[in-house]
Amino acid sequence: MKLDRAVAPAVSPPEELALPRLQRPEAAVELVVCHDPRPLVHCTWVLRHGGADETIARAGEFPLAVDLLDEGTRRRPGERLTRAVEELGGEMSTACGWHSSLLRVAGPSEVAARLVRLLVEAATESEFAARDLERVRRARLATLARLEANPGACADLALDALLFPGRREALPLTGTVAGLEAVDGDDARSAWQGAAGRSPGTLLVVGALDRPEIDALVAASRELADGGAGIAGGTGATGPPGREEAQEPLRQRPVVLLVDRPHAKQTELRLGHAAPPRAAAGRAGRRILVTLLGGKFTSRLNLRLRETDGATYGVSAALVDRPHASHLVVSSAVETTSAARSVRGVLEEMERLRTEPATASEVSDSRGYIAGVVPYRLQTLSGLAAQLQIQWLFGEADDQLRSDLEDLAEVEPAEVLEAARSTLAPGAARVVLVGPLAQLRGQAAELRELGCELVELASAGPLLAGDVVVG
Amino acid sequence: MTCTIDPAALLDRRLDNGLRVLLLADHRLPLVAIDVWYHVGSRHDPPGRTGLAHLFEHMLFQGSANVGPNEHFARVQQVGGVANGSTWYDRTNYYETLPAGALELGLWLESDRMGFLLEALDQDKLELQRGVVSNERRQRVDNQPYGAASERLNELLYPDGHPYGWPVIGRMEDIQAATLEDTRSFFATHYAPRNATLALVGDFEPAVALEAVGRYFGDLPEQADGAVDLEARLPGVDVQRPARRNAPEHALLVDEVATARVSLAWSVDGYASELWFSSQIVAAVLAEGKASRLEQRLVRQLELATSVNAYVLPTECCATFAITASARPDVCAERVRAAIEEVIEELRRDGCEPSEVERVLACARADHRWALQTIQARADAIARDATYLDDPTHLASFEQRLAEAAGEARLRSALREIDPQAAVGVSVVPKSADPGTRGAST
Repeated sequence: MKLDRAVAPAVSPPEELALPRLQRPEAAVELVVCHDPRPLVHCTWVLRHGGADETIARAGEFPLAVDLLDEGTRRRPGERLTRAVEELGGEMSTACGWHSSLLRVAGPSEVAARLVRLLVEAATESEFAARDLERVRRARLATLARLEANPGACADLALDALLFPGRREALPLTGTVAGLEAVDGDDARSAWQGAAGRSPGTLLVVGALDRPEIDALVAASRELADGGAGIAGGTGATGPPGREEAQEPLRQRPVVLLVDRPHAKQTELRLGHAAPPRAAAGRAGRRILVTLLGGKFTSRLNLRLRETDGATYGVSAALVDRPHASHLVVSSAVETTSAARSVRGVLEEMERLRTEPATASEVSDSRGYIAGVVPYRLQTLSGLAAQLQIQWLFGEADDQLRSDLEDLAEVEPAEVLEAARSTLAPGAARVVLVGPLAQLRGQAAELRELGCELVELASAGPLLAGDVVVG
Repeated sequence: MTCTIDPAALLDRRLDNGLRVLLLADHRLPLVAIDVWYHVGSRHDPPGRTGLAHLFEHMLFQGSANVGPNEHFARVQQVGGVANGSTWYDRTNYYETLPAGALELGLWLESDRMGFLLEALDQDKLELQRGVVSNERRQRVDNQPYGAASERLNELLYPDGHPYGWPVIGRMEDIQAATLEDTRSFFATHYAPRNATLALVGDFEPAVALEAVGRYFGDLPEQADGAVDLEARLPGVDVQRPARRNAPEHALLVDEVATARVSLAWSVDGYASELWFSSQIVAAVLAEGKASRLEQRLVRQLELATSVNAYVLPTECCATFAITASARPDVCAERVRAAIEEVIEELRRDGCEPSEVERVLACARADHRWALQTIQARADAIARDATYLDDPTHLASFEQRLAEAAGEARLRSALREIDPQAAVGVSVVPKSADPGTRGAST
């Protein structure tokens, strides 16, 4: 039969996805195992403690302490610890987020047990030596210095300053110059041991694991419990804390913070505001809403700012979830002459979603996209590990992915409209434009026409010190 | 196991119109990766039209005879797929990962633009994408700290019209100057089935998939050969081996940055050559992992830098071997450069220690497994090796070739190539730095 190229071929319905099965062997700290046949292992020890848990005065102390975990132990200096890991074909890394921190090893599964022993050594016997601390501190101060010269990072920081006024999250996660300079070795050790003492942590493991590897993980959990949680007589609490975070009252007019970068060739645009937390009812509707707004190439924002205006290489919108609060964040880098027009475009598309129901095909397309990319995201061990970590951070059930997919299947346009009305607040948006102020000022009238209140900042420097509060 | 390429499982066919088809079944997940590699990249940009190959990649998402503007993304995303394209010095590829039941949708989309693009090209689409690409360049290069460094480094390393000497994304004035006729001519010259490889990896039966490929691609006209004789177009330019230098050449860029950054580079033999593999090992000995020589010396012992890295690009004609170090705020570029050169000279004099080679090999074997986890990565690998080497199963011998490359004589050969006295380099220094301490050089 001759091929009719004018007609797109039919697509057969997707097979039901076999979602990863989790195992929870009995262990001294919570141990979650996701079996995967590939000859690799990805093992993460996560603690429910991060940058948001430290004070503004000590901003940077805890992330610095986490950074020091793999820099040397009581048994061997950092160089030898690193060699021990790399000779196995492995990698050890640390990371500190706003609400969690982690120590991770990854490598070939045939050396999994040996890699896990090295992880335990770093977690429980870290030296926090003065020389290492000084070197890591100086590296972090360099990171802060570079941040000021990076327009995208400045825009992210400026938006945080607007979304989290007066709070630790308004400052760089790396910390502040004052906070970092105040830390000594005892402080770093205390910060780490205090966190490890409050929460015994959880081992999240993905890979090809047989009985010997599971036994090694159980043994590791005992050492982590003794040397980690036991350090300060841990409470054993494992679930997410139950506190509700107060949401900022929504302002009734958008605020635009203009940050001068005189020689910029483009303007970084950020827009955000508080949104219902991840656990609030109607999450499936919100996911479709934000995907439709800016979560895929054919989103309304990308089609308008990129494919109609040609003003940007791309624009995205996402709900950034934290344990007790979520925020809508729109990001783009736009041609400076189109900055105000782009802000108008974003605000208008948000308002349009609040007032006109999305079509059934728009909702169906976004639902198909969100559901369809689940197996794509779970192709890699790190993708599986990221999913485990999200479920752990938000205290979600092991079958959360399945219930999410079931919820998505039931969303109708009316629920997306309801989600838009409860989630999108263009009148309360905080907007950041990082670019050449002289050119951006020329667009002030257009921004004021949108009802925006304009605030100018001569440089990004004050953002780094927490000296910017736009109340 | 799905972390390698099994030659016995790979089906390698060529259609009558010249299109090479590679099929590798993997039933672990209900997904299929479609990856079309055209053997044309920025090195084929016509004179005065740098960036044309990349701009053209954008045009391929603007619709074809039976697919409307942005319909490609819309159809892929509504079934839960992902799609994109990328342009590199030697090739351009277009790819989708789709639910297995959407395989024919992907073949329809790719075949329509391979065979029927010209009738949908128009001036409005071109002007729109010129704006998009100009903003891409601003976002990736012009408005980024250190954004100009790699372009300057390539200009120094590949002078006199060598086709790796200009940026893949193109120069702004050339992007703005591209015409509709340029894009039509580019398509007619390079976008022929004979100049393309189609790789499918994922959840399908190979015989069924091959039949579908034949249905969608088999009747596309053969078109032009697609081959461009670069030697003829660039007389006097040896694309395989740029002239070796007798003295270092180092450029200083003063920019809006907070700390200095130093890069040194050499040109070595191209992707998958004996020297390329040995150079990979040398690069890893120098800067891969915290136990590497440059990390230990510059970051940990002397505390001159906050990070170092070294890489050898997988380019076809020849390959860039580059080392980059980011200085601490109070350290000038010249000190960092001198320290890098000292470490290199020591390595050239004493050779690599067996223990560090073993460490590098262990990490490389593991990296190889990590890198091939996704069906898209495996589709890329077989399409790349078919395009560059005419051997889509090349990666099956990766570990063996790496082990051979680690022999002492081979490593000595690689070390001879990275002579500091024959290096080109770029130092980016802060505008605010005292001119006397910026580290100005030759």
